[in-house]
Amino acid sequence: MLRVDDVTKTFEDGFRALKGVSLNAGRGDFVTLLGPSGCGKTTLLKVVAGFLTPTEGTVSIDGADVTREPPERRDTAMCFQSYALFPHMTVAQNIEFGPRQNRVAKDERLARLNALLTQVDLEAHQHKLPNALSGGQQQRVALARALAMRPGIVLFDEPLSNLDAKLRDQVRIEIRALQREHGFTAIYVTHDQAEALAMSDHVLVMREGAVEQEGAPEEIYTAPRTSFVADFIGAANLLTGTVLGEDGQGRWQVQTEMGTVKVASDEPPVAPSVHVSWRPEDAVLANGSANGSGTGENLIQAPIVARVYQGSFTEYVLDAPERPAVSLRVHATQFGAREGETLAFHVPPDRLRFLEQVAS
Amino acid sequence: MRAGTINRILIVVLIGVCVLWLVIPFAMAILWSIVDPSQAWSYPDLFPARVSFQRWVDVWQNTALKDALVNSYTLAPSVAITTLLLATPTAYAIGRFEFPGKTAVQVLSLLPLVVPGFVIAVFMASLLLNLGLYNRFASIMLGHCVLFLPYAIRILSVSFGLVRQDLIDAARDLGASPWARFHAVYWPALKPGVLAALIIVFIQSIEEFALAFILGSPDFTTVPTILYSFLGFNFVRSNAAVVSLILVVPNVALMLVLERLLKSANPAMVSGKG
Ligand SMILES: Nc1ncnc2c1ncn2[C@@H]1O[C@H](COP(=O)(O)OP(=O)(O)O)[C@@H](O)[C@H]1O
Ligand SMILES: [Mg+2]
Repeated sequence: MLRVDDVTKTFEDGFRALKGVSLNAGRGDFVTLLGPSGCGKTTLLKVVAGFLTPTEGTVSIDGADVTREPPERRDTAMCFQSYALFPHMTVAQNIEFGPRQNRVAKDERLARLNALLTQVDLEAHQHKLPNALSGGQQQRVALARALAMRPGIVLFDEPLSNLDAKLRDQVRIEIRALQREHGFTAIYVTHDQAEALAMSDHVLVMREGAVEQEGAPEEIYTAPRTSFVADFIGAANLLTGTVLGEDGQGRWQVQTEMGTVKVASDEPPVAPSVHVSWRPEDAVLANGSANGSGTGENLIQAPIVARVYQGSFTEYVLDAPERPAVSLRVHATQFGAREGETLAFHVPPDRLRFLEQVAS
Repeated sequence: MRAGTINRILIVVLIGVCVLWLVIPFAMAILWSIVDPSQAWSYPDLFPARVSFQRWVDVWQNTALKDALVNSYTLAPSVAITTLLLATPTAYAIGRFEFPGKTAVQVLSLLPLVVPGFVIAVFMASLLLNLGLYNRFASIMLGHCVLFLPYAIRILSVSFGLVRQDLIDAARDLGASPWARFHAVYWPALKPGVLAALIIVFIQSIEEFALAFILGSPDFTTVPTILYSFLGFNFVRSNAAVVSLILVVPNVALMLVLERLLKSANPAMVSGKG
């Protein structure tokens, strides 16, 4: 359906905002571009929409090369971060704008308008100006306006960033519901990893104009390949390791800041000196925990520097035993331990992951 | 409380200044224009001893005022529209794009504002004669366009800056033709500025004297040149008062319209360029 092939974009000032990005999305897929601000997400979206022409590479929709087609001739509709509603037009006029421009017959136009007004729950507000609406309502008008075009692809540029947290969850669910109902392909830009994990079929993690890693949300979360991805998605513990040896069954001895640990990995480390990560919630407490008395592997004992109660879990910040300057974070549901005490816990070897080589 | 006091003092001062500078001269003009010719208004009378509209009738019947009015009121709209058309490309560039030398262009386009009208008029006159343009209406119109272009460029470039890029993009994305984009996005943001520029240039052109005098005299009169003739060597204060009022009252009305327009400029349009 949508294919972006090896796209590079160099701006007039010489800045390379995209460095060979490829993207594939099938019909009805929900694909998310995730990355920190300034990594080129909006630029990529504008290349897909047709507002920017790539310096190199191609964009094709349904097999047809549209790299040089203007936005008005592409089967895409964009939901702008600013909503970009026409301020002097009513809600209904905004929604009808696209069909009018494309000379859709009046009956059909009104049918679409009424169906969309119902779907986004704005019938009562259809004669209001955008200014008179709340942020969430404006967001829904923007969505309805895009959908009135019956586009094959809808492009979202951080659509929830101007909404408060509670509304964000609600609109998130609505977008997903509308997507299933209309069957459009969604390309969704966000810098919020929780949003990306919750909504997507497929996530592309971007960094400085390139795709760092892509895959299903579960894959990105559980099997990050670089420390950038591990840290960006859910703040993992990052260590530098020296590989000491392998036992022949996919278990490596690795010397790290928290001691020598065993790492169980299907793939060998990329270099003798690699980054290693694990998630705070993968630690299993040893002292006083239901399942642990020190028989598990990778037993680590570290002093507690800070303890942050988070409701459903408690976060402990610890000094790494062999390099106190490095902090470790552990999430636990038991919260007896205090600052100054020592926390003993296991990190199961299959929860430790090899990342990229340590830069020398 | 203190701020309240300061505010009150400021308001009193402002009202005082207004009375001194606007109300008194205006009232004097009205009084002078209705002094009856049969009995002079002289010291120490506070008000004219006898009032009538005789002066108005006189001026209307015996001077070239009618021609001057026709001239002024055909000249001013022509100047306003032409200036607007001439200002649009520059204003568009200044308002919508960043380009090297933009500041220089902005300063350059404001230059006529600081050069006295007489200076421009004198050199304009010789230039137009050299060019062989002897039509007085056309020469004054051209001169006024040059003189007032800075105002129009200034106002319109601000308006063009207010046009939101995200709305332009949205309109394109929804399949709008260039004309539909203009209608849906540009015009609502530009309208107050376009009308303001038209009115300001119109008023300026109506009131301009130096250029109209040098290029138009002796046979092409405008309202200010007529007024000047009453102030010159056959000085008649009452006639001058009549012409002043005829000159000023429509302009004040236009200023009020302008004020309305600027207020109605939709604040929702005022936002970044996306
Ligand atoms: N028109 C432009 N000219 C030059 N640089 C630009 C332009 N637009 C964006 N950039 C730069 O490209 C980079 C990526 O921008 P963008 O795609 O908007 O990032 P994101 O949406 O991921 O935050 C930024 O560093 C930005 O400053
Ligand atoms: Mg962006």
